[in-house]
Amino acid sequence: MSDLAILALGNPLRGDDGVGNAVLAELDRKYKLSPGVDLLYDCSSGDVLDALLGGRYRKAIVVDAAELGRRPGEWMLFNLQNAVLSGIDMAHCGSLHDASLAETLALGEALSMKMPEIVIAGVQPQELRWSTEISEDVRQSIPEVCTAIYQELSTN
Amino acid sequence: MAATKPRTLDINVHYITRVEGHGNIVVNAQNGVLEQCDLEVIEAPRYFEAMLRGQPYQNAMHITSRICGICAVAHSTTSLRATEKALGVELSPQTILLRKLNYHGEMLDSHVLHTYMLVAPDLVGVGSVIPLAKSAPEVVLRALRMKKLASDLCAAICGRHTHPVAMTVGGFTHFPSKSELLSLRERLEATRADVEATIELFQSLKLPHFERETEYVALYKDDEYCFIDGVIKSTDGGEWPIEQYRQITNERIVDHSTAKHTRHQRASYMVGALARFNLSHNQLQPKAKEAATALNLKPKVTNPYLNTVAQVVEIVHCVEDAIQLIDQLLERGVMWEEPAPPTRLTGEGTGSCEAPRGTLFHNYEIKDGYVTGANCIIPTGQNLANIEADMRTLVPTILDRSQADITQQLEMLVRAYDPCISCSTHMLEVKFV
Repeated sequence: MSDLAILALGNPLRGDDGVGNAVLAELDRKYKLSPGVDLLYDCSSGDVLDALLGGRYRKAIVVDAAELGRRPGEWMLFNLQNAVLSGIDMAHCGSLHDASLAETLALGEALSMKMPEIVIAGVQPQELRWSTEISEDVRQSIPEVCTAIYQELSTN
Repeated sequence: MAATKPRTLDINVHYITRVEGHGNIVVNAQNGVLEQCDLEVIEAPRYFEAMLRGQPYQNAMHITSRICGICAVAHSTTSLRATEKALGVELSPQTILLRKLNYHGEMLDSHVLHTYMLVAPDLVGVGSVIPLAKSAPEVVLRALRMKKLASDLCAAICGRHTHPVAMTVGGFTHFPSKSELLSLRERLEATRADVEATIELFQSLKLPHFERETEYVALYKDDEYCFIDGVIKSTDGGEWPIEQYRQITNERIVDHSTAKHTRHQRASYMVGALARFNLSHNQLQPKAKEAATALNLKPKVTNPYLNTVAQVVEIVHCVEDAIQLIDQLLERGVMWEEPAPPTRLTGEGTGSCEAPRGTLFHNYEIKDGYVTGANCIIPTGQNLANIEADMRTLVPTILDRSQADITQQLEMLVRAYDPCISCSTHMLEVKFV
């Protein structure tokens, strides 16, 4: 039974926003992941809700394009103890049709739900435009991101 | 338009929450005269129709499912029906049953989200589902349980709910096992307790009273509560084949919105759960009819706020109908089937389904297996003119209320339509000037 999940957030039709899917595809292709690791492509808010609040996973790695204030293609692995995901007002937050990762986690906290350990792999995008192509800088970072995720998996 | 009270409104609220996307409501009342009352959709067009051009027909479903993460099955099914009609694909009885069952999963998922997460906070006086989760965790946990079931139902049939992978032109590439169907059936039966609690919850909540006669449009079949195919039917009278969708929708550009408006026999019409209920209430499952009675929903309903209550009735219908569909599949036995093949590679086809928030049309022209033209008309776009017409009728009747109250009534009105602006483009920020 799987107790680790790697989630790809982002829209693959929006250029570098599809980096999550590309990372998962590379992990699947190049690494022998154990059957205990679920690769969850194309995650929308509902999928994130299900994966993170469903009590199914011990640990989840979320891969997405992220505004890190860095150069395109630079990436970081971080956890929720050293990052603020969003400054939105949780008391009047938006729509669960399009809930953010921060809103999903706030809901879990409000319900006192057991959540997995969450690690975020954020990649600085070059541009989010209508395209199925990922920019060269971001593409070149994918092997490094995969290596870091694989090492992160092997620490548990 | 003359208002009933000598009132000047000057309200500017950015971002109405709990709707999908961004837009503006602009209301301008000077000395009791309502001078402007528009719903401005301000988001950029998304060009999905252009993206489809040049794509092999097999890709159309996967691309158009990305129009919406909530209505992914609706867009996928509608896309497949358009392609199948264009290419002369005849579906097997098993495919039709599986698509109906799959569709109930999405309808449940979306309606639970809208009724519990987006509307209920207004009715219990909190700002969002987060404080609701703190004050009434059992209500939110119930919603999450029902949503999980809906999501698992879709996963068993089409691989996953959001952006399905196992639906294809002519059929499916994956089939549920007998044990999966039995497990789903058991969980659907168990969820009846949550459905009952949902009915009781909405019996206890008070929705605004506001009536306005309008035209309601939905797909219709004589022998079932129609979500897929059928004919287009109007409460103003008349039935039309799906292929004549342009005569129903009559899309037009308006100055204040990047989303087109539509009109049919009146200046506007409404699609969605309330339209379906008004047109097809006789075809509801018996338990759904009982729920409608318990919720005091009697056709013809002309209060748009009650669209949410009609969604509760449809939750009951989908659970009951899903159980019956599973029984039919178990009785037949689900067999592995090759997808039905195209009989031609050039043609034009129109697909239509009832997305959770209303009638959805996809029309494709395909030449030698490649899409050469596409037109997608989504429910929220069809509802925009009707929302504005409701606003223009509602505001003069509540001008004596506080600015905050008027704002909330308008926000709740727009939410009642369950708009999905990422489909039409995007939505909402209220601005009174």
